[in-house]
Amino acid sequence: MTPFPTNICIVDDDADFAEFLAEYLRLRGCGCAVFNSAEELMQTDGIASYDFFIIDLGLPGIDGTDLTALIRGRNTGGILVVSGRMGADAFNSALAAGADMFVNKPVRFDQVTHAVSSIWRRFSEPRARSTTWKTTHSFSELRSPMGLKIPLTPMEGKLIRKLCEHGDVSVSRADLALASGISGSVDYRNLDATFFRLRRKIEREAGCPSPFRTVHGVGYQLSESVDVLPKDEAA
Amino acid sequence: MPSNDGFISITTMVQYLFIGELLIFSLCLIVIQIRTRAVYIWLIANVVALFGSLLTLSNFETEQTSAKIIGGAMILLAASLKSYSFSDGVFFNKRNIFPDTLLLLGILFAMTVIFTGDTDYLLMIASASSIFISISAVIFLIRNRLWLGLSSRNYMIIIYCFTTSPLFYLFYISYPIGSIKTFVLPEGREPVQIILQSILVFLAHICFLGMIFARNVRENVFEVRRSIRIREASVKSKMREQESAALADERYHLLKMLTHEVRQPMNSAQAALQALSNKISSGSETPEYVQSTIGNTVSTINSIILSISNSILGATLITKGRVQKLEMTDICCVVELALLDLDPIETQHFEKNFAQPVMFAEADPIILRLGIRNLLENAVKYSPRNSKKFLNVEIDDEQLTLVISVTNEIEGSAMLGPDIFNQARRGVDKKYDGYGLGLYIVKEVAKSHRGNLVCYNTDGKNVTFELAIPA
Repeated sequence: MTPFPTNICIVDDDADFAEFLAEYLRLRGCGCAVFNSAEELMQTDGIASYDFFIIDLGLPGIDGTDLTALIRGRNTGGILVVSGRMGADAFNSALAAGADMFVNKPVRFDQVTHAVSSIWRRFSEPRARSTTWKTTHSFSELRSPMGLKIPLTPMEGKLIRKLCEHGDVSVSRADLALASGISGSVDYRNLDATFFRLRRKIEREAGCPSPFRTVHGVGYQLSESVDVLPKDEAA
Repeated sequence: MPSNDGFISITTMVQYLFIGELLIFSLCLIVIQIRTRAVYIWLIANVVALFGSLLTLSNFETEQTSAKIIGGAMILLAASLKSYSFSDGVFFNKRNIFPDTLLLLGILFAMTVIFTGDTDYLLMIASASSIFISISAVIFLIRNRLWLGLSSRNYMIIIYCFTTSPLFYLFYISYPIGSIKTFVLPEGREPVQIILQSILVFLAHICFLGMIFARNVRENVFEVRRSIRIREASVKSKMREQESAALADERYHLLKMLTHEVRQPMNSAQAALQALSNKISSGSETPEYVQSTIGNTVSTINSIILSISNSILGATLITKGRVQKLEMTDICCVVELALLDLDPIETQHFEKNFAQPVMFAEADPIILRLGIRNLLENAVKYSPRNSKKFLNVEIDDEQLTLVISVTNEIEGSAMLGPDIFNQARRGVDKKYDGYGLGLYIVKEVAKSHRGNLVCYNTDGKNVTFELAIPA
């Protein structure tokens, strides 16, 4: 059976939608509490007890974005934002506040459950949020926050090492090609292809996005911190 | 130095030449027709110098000392006017108090020469006046931004420095500091002094003309640049005006499209619900009828939602341009969500095939979902009822992209015109409602993701739309 949270909190000022959704989710066998405003939820003082939140952005009083940030400060559970607001601003502000996914209304209940499952697959273990990516001292293996191991080829290892050396600063394609020994043609196609394949491998093995991102027109940089394990922990 | 035998003396001759030189350069200044304050002041200065020279000339013939002194003083005043001309526009600037004071002292000393007449201090006062005037002229030339960077200005400064140095010597030897008592040079040296004076005035005039020309050229260049800027600004403002008119037109067009696409299905949904209500009140409804009516109504509402979403996104794209900020998004999840946007019955006819269960790319999930949904709705709309359709998410190792492809049967390739991705184009006949905003939206979604949208119709039976996103 698809993994699914057991205790969901829905905060939506559209009382009908929230109640129908709760009913639908209860039929799947999970507990569901409904609140029509952020204040209602905060009065209960039980934010820490839920393992998943479905939040609307356009709430009366405290806004959905602020509520998301507030919840993220106290709880490592999944947060799905379901909102009628459209446009990059709403989506970016929700993700910046700590939401895991943004789904725009109108949305059907089966779509909500699909989104919840999708998030839950990645973050079912709360420790995944509190830990970071790791790599062995020899850069022969990458470990996802969930502890899943991704073996690295020597070339991939050199690329990750170079990115780790620069932290959150972008590294040019020329520098990466030099560090990894990839032949650097004018457009660095081989380098891009290596990163492309590494991304797919990480997704396949760890089920989550890679800890680096493309900086268009420049090169690549780490998007999440990667800790290098000491030599004796490498095994 | 009177003329005894009908011939004029050398001194008188060179003085005449000096006067001629002044006249010629004054004419030059008039002829070049550069009307600036500096030129006018310089012309006045030349007139004053001319009168001064004429007075001095009369002294050569008549031995009138007072005329000679007044003539000399007038030449000093002319020099001070020329110095003032270099301060064009900055004389009253607080920064220039020092050269201003020097110039005023020079004028004061020149006036003193007129009023005190032939005294033992004459040479001292006159040379001091000249020194003050020359130094003030040099300072004005250096500080005034009007002359900045002009090579003629540098030559003018050199000429002034060259003129000032002998003046210091004159000041040094003048009585009561030194031993020479009068303003007049020892007999026989007057022609040399006048020739020197003529040469310096000649060079000064050449430099001044150079400065005026160079400044004029520079101002013309500035003027041309200014006018180009103004013209560009006016062109830009006209373009903006046209753009905003086009935007307003586009928005109106979208609104019209929305009204057209939404009105009919709203009407159908309303009619279906009304019929259901009537059946329920008369007690003649069957569970199958209720289910089918509700199913149809949900489907109609779905199509209304798509139309509204397309129009909102279309209007957003038109007004705000493409999305700039993309986030790492699970493309498989977005594709699943888009598939769930369809009617559940239609969803069943799609065969999904994802290269990996999870694939991430930088994307905006909202507009990507809408784009994919449009592709899926198109596949449903233009394929035979209940036919099999394919929804794949593939990895393109060559192009380094994730490719979302939708394949469905079609009834004929004629519907795929070259402009199917354009707004308000519909490749099929009137049997299909709507204006065809869908594929235009998908194309814009592809562009926002730095990707592309292509369409294949290889065997004439199936059509495949591929939305590729860099990942």
